[in-house]
Amino acid sequence: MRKWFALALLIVLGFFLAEIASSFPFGQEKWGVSKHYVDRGIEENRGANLVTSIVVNYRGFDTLGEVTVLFLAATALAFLLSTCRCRRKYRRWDASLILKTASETLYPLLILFGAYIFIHGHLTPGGGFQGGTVIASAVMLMLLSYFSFHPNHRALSTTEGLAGLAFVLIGFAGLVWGGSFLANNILPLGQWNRLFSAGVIPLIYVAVGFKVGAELSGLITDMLKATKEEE
Amino acid sequence: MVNPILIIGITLGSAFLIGIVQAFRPRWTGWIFYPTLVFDFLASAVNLYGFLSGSIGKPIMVKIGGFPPPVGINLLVGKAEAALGTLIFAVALLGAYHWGRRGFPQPQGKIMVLFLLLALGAAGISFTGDFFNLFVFVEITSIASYGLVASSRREEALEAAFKYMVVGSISSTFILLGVVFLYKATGSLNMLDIGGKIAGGFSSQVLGLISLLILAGLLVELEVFPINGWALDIYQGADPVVVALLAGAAVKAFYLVYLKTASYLALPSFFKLSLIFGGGTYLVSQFFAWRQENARRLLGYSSVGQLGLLILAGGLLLSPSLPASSRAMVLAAVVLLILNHSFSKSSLFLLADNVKGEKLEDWKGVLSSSPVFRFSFTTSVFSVAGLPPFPGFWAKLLLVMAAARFSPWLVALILAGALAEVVYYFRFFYLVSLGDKKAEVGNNLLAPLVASLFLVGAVPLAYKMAADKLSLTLPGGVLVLLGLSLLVYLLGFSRLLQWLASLGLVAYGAYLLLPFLKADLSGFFLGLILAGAAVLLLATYPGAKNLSSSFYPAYLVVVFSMAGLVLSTTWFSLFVFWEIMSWASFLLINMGRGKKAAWIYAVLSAAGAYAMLGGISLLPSPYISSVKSPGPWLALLLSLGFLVKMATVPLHIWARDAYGESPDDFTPLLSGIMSKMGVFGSALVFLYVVINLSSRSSFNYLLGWAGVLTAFFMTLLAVFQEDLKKLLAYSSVAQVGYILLGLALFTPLGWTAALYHTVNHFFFKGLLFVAAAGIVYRVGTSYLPHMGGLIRRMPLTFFASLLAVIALAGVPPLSGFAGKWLLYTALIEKGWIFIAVVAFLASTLAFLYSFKILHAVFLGQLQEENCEVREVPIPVAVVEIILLIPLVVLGAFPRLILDPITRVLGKVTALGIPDLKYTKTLGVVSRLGHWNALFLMVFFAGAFILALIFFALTSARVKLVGQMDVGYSGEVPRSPEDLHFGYGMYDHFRRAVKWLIYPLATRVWRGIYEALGAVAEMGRRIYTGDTNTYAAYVIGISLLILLIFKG
Amino acid sequence: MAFFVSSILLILIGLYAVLVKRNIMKIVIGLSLMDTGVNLLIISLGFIRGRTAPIINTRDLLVNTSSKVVDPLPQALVLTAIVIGVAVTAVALSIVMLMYSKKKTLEIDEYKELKW
Repeated sequence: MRKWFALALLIVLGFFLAEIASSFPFGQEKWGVSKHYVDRGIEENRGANLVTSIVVNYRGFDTLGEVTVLFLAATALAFLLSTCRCRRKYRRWDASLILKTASETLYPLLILFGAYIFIHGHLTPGGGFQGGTVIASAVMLMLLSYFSFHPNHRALSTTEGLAGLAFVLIGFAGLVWGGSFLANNILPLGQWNRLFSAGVIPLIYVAVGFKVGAELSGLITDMLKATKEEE
Repeated sequence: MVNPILIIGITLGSAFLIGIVQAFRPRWTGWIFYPTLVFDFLASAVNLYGFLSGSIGKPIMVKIGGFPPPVGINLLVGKAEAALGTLIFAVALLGAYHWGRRGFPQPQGKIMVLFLLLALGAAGISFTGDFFNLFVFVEITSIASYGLVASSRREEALEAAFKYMVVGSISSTFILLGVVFLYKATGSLNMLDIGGKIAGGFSSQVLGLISLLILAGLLVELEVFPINGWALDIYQGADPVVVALLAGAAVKAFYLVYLKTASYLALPSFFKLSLIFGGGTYLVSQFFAWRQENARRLLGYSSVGQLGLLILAGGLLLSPSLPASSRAMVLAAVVLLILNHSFSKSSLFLLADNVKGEKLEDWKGVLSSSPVFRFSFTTSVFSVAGLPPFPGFWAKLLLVMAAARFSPWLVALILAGALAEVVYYFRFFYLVSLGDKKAEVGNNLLAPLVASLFLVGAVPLAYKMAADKLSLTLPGGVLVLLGLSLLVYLLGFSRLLQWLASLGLVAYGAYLLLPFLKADLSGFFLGLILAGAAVLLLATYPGAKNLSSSFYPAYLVVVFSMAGLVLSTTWFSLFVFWEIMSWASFLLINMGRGKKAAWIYAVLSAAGAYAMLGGISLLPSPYISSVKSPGPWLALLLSLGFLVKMATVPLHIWARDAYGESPDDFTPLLSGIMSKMGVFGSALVFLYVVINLSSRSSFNYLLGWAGVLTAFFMTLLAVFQEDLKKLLAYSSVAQVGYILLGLALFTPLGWTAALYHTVNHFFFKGLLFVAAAGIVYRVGTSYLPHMGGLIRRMPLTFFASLLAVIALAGVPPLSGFAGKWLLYTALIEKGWIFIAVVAFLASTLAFLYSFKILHAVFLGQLQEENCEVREVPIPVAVVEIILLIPLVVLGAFPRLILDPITRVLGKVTALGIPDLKYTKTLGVVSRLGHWNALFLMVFFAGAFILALIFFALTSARVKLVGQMDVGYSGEVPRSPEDLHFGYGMYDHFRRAVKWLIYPLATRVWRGIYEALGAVAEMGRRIYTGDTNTYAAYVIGISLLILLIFKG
Repeated sequence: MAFFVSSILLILIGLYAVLVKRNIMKIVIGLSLMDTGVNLLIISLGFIRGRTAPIINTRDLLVNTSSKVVDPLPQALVLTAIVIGVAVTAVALSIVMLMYSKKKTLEIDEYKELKW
C-alpha cells in the first residue's frame, strides 16, 4: 500500500521534473550570465580554469558559505559525538601488513598530490575542495590501517580555523584595498596560465584546500573515535 | 551606515576563531561569542535607525568582489532586511544570554559556533540578493538547526532533528532544483535581474512550475499545514532556547525571502497560494491546539498558526487587486505581527525552560511562584493572543480592516482563528493560575523579562502605526490616564499607597474629563463611571486584605477604559477601549477564586468583541453616528459583544461564577458599572444601526424578548442560589435584562426607564455587592447557610441591605419603584403584552430572592462561629451610607434623576421627547397614570416607624435561645446547616419548576466546545510522528501546489 | 536526454527510499542518492554538445571562447551543492549514531514518540 502510494507520488513528481527539464533541450547552447564569465573571465581574472574563476571569484561568496557549511557540519558532528556512547566492542586491531605498507607509502604521496591539486586549482581541473578531499582520503587510509593512528586534534582545529580566517581576511583585504569584499584586484593578476597568476584566487584555494583537508580528516576521525573502545 | 558584509564577515571570522580557541582554551570562547552577537545586533540596529531616520535613502547594495549584478553576488539590504536583521540578532542575544546563564552543553565552543552560524544564516537569507546564494544560506541555517535541535541529546530531540533533517533535505532539494532551472530559464541567478526580466515581459512555458518548485520548498520551511509535523516535533522536543531562536528569528527570515521570491517571480496565482495555505494553516493550527496537553507543543501549534497568519498577510500583499491604502495597512500589520510573535514566543519558550516538566499540569501554580514570571507570562500570552495594548492587537486590527476590502470571508477566518487562539491560550492561562501552592520554577528569568519589556515598549510604536494607517484617534486624556494607571503597579510594595494613588488618579481623571460631562448620552454614562468608580474605590480600602499588586492598576484601567469607551466617536475607538476593558476585567476576575469562570468570560468576551470587529470591518465609515443601510447581520454582529457583557440569555453562562468568584472588591464595579457598558453599547446600536434597519421592529422585538427572558430566567436561578454573591450575580444580570428590555422598546418612555434603572441599579446593586464584600470579609464565606442572624452583629449593614433590597424589589417608597413603574408603563404603551406578562412574573419572583437575601444573611439565629464577627470595616460602612442616601432621596424625589435623563434624551432626536410630566407636588404623570413619590415616602416611613415602635415595646417578651437548643420529636439536628432557614429555601418550588431551570445553555455551549475539541483531537492525528509519512506529505503537498497553481 | 532521464530516475529512487524504507540508514542513503541525482541533473543542464571543458589552457581557446566550451556556471554550482550534500550527510550520520546509541535500533517505527 505504502509502496504503491509512494510510487504514484514519485511518478507524478518525475513527470513534473521531466516536463521542466525537457523544456531545456539537452546539449543545446543557451547562455545566460555565464557568457560574461566565459568571454571576459580571462581578462578579468586571468584564471585559466573558468570554473575556478567562478567558484572563487565571481561567486566567491557562495564558496565562503560552502566552506562555512562544511565547518558547521564538522562542528555539529564533533559536538554531537563528543559524548556519544556509540562504542561497540572492538578489539585492538591493525590492518594486514600489505595494507599498512601500501598506506605508509601512499600517505605522503597522496598529501602531496592533494596539495598539487589545490595549488593548481586555477589552472587545471580541481581545486581546494578536490585537493582537500584527496588529503582527507590519505588520512582515512591511515585510519583504516592503524588502530592507534590519531591526527592531532588541536592541529586540525587550528588549521581549519586559520584557513577559514584566512579566507575571511582575504575578503576583508579586498574590502579595504580593493573597494569590495573578496575583490580580486588587490594582487597583480599576472599572466594567463602561470602558477603565479589570477590574483587572490590561488591563495583562497590554498586556504580552502587546507580547510577542507583538515575538516574532512577531523570528520572521519571523530566518527571513528566515537565507535572505538577507550584506550 | 554599517556595511552588511561586515556583519557576515566578522561573524564568520569569529566562528572560525571560536573553533581554534575551543581547542586550546574552551573557557575563553565566550569572549568572542557574546561580543560578536552584540556587534551584529548594534550594526543591524544602526542600519535600521539609518533607514528609519531617513539618513539612508535607498537600499544598501553590496557588490561582492566588485562585480555588478547579475555577474557577481550582491547583498541587498533595505528597510525590511535591516529590521529583520536587528530582530534576529536581538532574539539571538536574548537566547545566548539565557543559555549561557543556564550553561551551554559541552563542548561549549562548538555549540556557540552552531548558534552564531544559525543567526548568521538567518540574516544571510534575508540579506542576499542572489537565488543560489540564498540556497547556500538556507543550508547554513538548516545544518546549524539540525545540530542545535539535537544538541540536548535527548531522545525526543534526536527524533525531531532527524525528521527535520529528512524533510529539510527534501525542501532544499526543491529549492536547489528550482534555482538551477531558474538559471536555465532566465540565464540569471540574481533576484533583481530575474525580477526585472519577468516584470519586463520575459516569460517561459515552465517558469510557473519552476517558481512553484522554489516556493514549495520555502513553504515547507514556513511550516504550512499539513507539512509541519516536523516543526511541531521540534517545538516539543528540542531545547527551548533553540526553539526560541528558530521560531523567533530563523523562520522570519524564511518568511521574508518567501515574500521576496514570490514578488520577484510574480505569478498571478501566488497570492491565492499564499492565502489558501496561510489561512488554512492559521485556522487549523489554532484549532488543533485546543486539547493539547503538552505546553511546548501547544506553543508550537500557536507558532505555526501565527506563521500562517503572516503568510495570509503575505498573500494579501501579493494580491494585485489590493488598494494602496490597504497595502500599507497590511505591511504595518506584518511588521507588528513579526515583532509581536518573535518576542512573545521567545519569552514564552524561555519561560518554558524554567518550568520542570512539559505537561500543562506541570505549570500549575507557576504564576504565584515569582512576580517576574507572572509579569512575563501574562504579557507574552496577552501579546501572542493579540490582546490590547500589545502590538499583536493593533496588527490584528489593521489586518482585519485590510482584509475587509478583500473579502468578508477572510475577515471571518482571521477572527475565527483569533478566537480559537484565545480559547486555548486562556485555557492554558487558567490552568497555570490554578492552585494555591507555588510551583518550583528556575530563576533564569532575565531574558524572558527583557523580551516582554520589549513588547511593552513596542506598544506606543504599534499604536502610532495603527493610528496612522486607520486614521484612528483615541481621546488623549484617557490614554494618559491609562498610562498613569499602569504606573500604579510600581507602588506594588504597599497596597495602601496604591489605594491612595488610585483615589487620587480617579479624582484627577474626573478633573481631566470634566469638559466631557455634558448632558448627552456619553456625558451621562461618564458621570456614572467617574462618580461610581470613586465611591466603589473607597470601599476597596486594602486593610489587611490579600490583594494582588496588580489589582489597583487593573481596576483603574477598567475605569478609564470605560471612560474612553463612552467618549468614543468612532467604532474603532469604541472597540479598542472595549477590548482594554474586557481584558483588564479578565485579569481582575482571574485574581479571584473562579479561574475557570474567568476563562469562560475571556472566551465569550473575545467572541463578542471579534464579532463586533467583524461588523466594524464591514462598515464604510468608522463614525458611530454614520451607519447607513445596515443588514440585520451587521446589527447582530455589532451588538453581540454588548449582549455578552450584559450576559443576555443564552450568553449568560459566564456571569454567575465570574461575578460570584471574582475578587469581592471588584464585583461592585463589575455589576454596578461595567455591565452598564453593555447597556451603553446597545443604546448606540439601537440608535445608529438598528434604526436604519428595514426589519427594525422585529429586531427590536427579538431583543426585547432576549431582555425579558434574561430577567425571568436569571431571577428564577437567583431564587435557588445558595451563595450570596452568586445570588446577587443572577439578580444583577436579571436587572440588566430589564434595562435591555427598556432599550429595545425604543420609545422615549422605555429609554427613560432604561437609563433610570441603569443609575438606580448601580446604587442598590453596588450597595449590595459592597455589603456582600464586607460580610464575606468578616464571615469568611459567601455561602448563605453559614450566615444568618447577622442583624445583631452588623446592624448598619442590615439596614443598608434592607433598603437596597426594597429598591431592588421595585416596591414603594424607594427608588426602585419609579423604574419599574416607568418600564411597565412603557411596555403597555408599546403594546408588548406578552413581554409585559413575563416581566411582571419575573418581578414577582424577585421578591422571593429579595427576601432570601435578608433572611438567610441577617435573620434567624446567629451561627456559633459568627458570634464574634464585627460590623463591616469603616470604609465599607461609609460607602454603604453614601449609596443609601440616593435610594431614599430618589424614592421621594425621582425628578432629581428623571430631569437630567429627560434632558439627555432630548438630545437623542431619533427617539422623540418623553411623554412625561411632573406635577407641582413632585408626582410623576404619564398617559397611563400617576403617583406622588413624596406622599408615598412619607406614608411608608410613617408605617415603618410605627412598626418599629411596636416591636421595640414588645421585644421584652422575646426569649433568645442558643442555636442548637432545639428538639422536636426526638430528632437531633446534625449540623447548623439543617437548622438554617435559608438552606433549601423554596425547595418545594424548585421541584415544581425543575424543567425550567435545566442548565440548557451551559450544556449546549459545553457540548459545542467538546465537539470542536473532539474534532480537533481527531484532526491532529494526521501528525502520525512517522518520518516516512511526513516526507510523503511534503512531496504530496508540493505536487498539489504544482498541479493546482501552475496556471 | 539520457542524462536527464537517468538523473531524474536517481532522484526518484532516492526519494522512494525516503518514503518507503523503514530503516534510518536506508533513509539517509536515499537522501544521499537524491543529492547525487540532483547534482547530475545540474551538470547535464550545463552541457553543450561538442564542446570542451571550460578550462582555457590552450591559446586557441582564448579567442571566441563562448563557442568552444560548455557552460561553466552549473559546474561551479554543483561543486557547492556536492559539498553541502556531504555536510548534510555527515550531520545526518552523527544524529543517526546518537539515535542508535540511545535505543539500539534503526527501525523508524521506534522513533515515533513525538506526534499529534
